[in-house]
Amino acid sequence: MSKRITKNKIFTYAVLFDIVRSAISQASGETSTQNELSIFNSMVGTIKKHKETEHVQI
Amino acid sequence: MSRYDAFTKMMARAVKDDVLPDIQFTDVTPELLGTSVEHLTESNMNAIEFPATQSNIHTAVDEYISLTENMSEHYHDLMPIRKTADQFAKQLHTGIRTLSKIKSTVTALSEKTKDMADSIMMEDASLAMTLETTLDPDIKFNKMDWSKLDHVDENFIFNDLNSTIGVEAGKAPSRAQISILVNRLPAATDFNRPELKDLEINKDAARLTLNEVAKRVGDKATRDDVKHVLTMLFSLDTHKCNVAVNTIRESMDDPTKVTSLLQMVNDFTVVLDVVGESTLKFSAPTVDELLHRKSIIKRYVDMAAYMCAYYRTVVWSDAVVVPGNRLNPDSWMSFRQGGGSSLAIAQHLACYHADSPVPRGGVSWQFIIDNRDKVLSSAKEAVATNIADVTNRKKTIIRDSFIYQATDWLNKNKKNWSRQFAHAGNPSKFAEAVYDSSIDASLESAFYKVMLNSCFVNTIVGTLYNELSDMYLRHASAGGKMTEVQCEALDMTVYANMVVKFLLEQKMIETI
Repeated sequence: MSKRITKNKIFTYAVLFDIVRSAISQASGETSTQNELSIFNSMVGTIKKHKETEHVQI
Repeated sequence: MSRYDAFTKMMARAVKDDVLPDIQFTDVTPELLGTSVEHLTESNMNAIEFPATQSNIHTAVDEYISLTENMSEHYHDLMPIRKTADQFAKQLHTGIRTLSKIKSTVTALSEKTKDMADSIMMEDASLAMTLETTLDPDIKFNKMDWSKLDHVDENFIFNDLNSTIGVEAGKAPSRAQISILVNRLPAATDFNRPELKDLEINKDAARLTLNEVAKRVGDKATRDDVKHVLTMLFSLDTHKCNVAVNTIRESMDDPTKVTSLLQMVNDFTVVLDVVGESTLKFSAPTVDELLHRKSIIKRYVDMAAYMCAYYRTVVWSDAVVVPGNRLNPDSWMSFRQGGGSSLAIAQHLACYHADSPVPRGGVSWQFIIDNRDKVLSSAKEAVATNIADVTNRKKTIIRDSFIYQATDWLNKNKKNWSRQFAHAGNPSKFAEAVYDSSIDASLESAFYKVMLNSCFVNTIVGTLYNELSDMYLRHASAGGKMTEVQCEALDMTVYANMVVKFLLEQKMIETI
């Protein structure tokens, strides 16, 4: 059975991705597709790690 | 091709791998986020689940693009949060630029440290053999400054005084003969104590004399030099005569005193030459006494010039290095023409005179050239038999060079010290501590620590460096040399991580 998702989640990540990509473009120049893959992975990794740490703290 | 292609692909994969935590924009700063963003991301309509296939995600992303591009209200609602992120981006940008400048400085300092350490090691043949460089550095030595004799005819004085003790022209005086000359100096023995009258030196006359002598000396000596010689003249007593005699006498056994004698000759000759009746602005009896004193001092100066000439032309006639590890410029050309170099001298001294001083007669230039092979083979042997010692000496030299360069940099950048560092502020101790705590790291890494922990304490530059170096270390440990594309990808990873961390810390987003 395939995984399920909502538009809210896609939109939220899209907004966040836009913000992060724009910030990085400002800081270090235009981003390539290859760079965007790194940005996305890093973004998700950081959030995931944050969530895990938050749970540990609780 | 859409700007969201990579995003769409990565979203689909992340959902499939189930690694996508639920997040939301918070209401901590509603005025910042705007209500429409909530509508955009949290509307009931959009809360309906559907299969996360790539095409479904693609459709949703297209809808997002259309919403943000066509609906100006959403665009404006997104602006404040973008603005905040962009402010952070500006900091990040400054951090990246600063770090890049630091990188250039670190590279330059590391090179300087290596060069400095290499040139020190080159001076020791056994250490030099372990280096990969084939450089022949120009090593600086202190030199015998014979130009201080330019105002006297030391050869005339030498031959003239020799003739008074029966030394034929062209022959070297014996030690006993030189002793006779020394003993003839005023105050050298109880039998030739100089008669010195007490003098009342009138201050105004003294000042006038100083002005006149200084004027006539011109730029051959400074006013302070003139003052020094005149003070000696005005205050000459038995004790000062004894000091002069002792300095000359000691130079017979201690050739390093020759540099003091050279100074004495230089300082006194130029000034005493213009001291006379026309420049001494005192009463006639005082002038008579001062001229008497001048003749006494002149005897010491002549004897000092004699000793300098003795060492120069007799004792060190073929020496290229003299006691005190000074270079003798008189033999330098012969030595160079014979194939010698400053490096050969340094390595010779390290081999033969590391523990014992250069002998009284100096080291002849021919001896250094003849023993060059011996120095090199004994160095080879030292490397082969005592590699641990060689390694330790190298380590010490590199450490000392690092501390020197780091301390020099810190002192030159004092105005940029962070407040926290300025409180502790002992640059050399700090440089030592950094080096000793980074013993297994590279020179570059130690220099980064020096700079970041002194001038960039608690700044984004430090965080950026730590994040980047952690990331690079993790990947380097996986092995292999990284390509430029891989390096760029790592940089992006770190930047994205920092931006997201910032948004999380600012509580603009949260996980649910």
